[in-house]
Amino acid sequence: MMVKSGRAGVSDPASEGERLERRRQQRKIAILAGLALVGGIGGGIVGAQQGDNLFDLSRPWPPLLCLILAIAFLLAVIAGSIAMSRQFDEVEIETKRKAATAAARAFGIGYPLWFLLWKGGFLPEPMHIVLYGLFLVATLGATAFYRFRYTIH
Amino acid sequence: MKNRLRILRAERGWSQAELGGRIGVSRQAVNAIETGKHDPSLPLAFRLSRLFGMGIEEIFDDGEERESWRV
Repeated sequence: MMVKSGRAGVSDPASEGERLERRRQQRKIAILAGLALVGGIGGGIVGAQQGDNLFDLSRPWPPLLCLILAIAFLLAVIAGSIAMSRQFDEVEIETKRKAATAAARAFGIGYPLWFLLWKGGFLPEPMHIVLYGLFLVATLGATAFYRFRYTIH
Repeated sequence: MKNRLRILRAERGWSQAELGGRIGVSRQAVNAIETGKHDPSLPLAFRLSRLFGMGIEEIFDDGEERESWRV
């Protein structure tokens, strides 16, 4: 039996595709929730132990804590990337590729500009954390732009 | 690239999510293909071709004149 609307019942054979699509979305949400959990635990530990000098870049953190966090971050990113890549379709992969390219361009253009303006005395010395933030913002912004572009009818 | 995906889908009463699930892509991907914002890969075009039981050139139109194959 064919369905006439986008809200097919679960028992309807025509809703098989929607069920598969829903499962794929649920798997993506589960992966993101897992990554958020790892980030939340790491952030919670850092906040509890280093709350006083969280934003003081001149004061070091305990080496063991940093090592554990670095390993946890690396493992989560590798596992999360592999798991997410299995859920992506070709449009999502294209979106990610374009977003990564936009972020790389933002970094590649932003850093030399900042460096030159610093050398000329117009700006303070380039800050790595701001450059990293620029990379993240460019990635998220480009991802949102391309997702919006693909989603609008 | 122009295509008849929206018509073929509507003829079967499928939502974008339904079609997406059947060919292993997201609803957004179906929308992107239908609106011509994304040209599907050859494997995906073949999946669509098999699903609708028609040739790729019957679903997609690249705007070029058809020419007979020369031997």
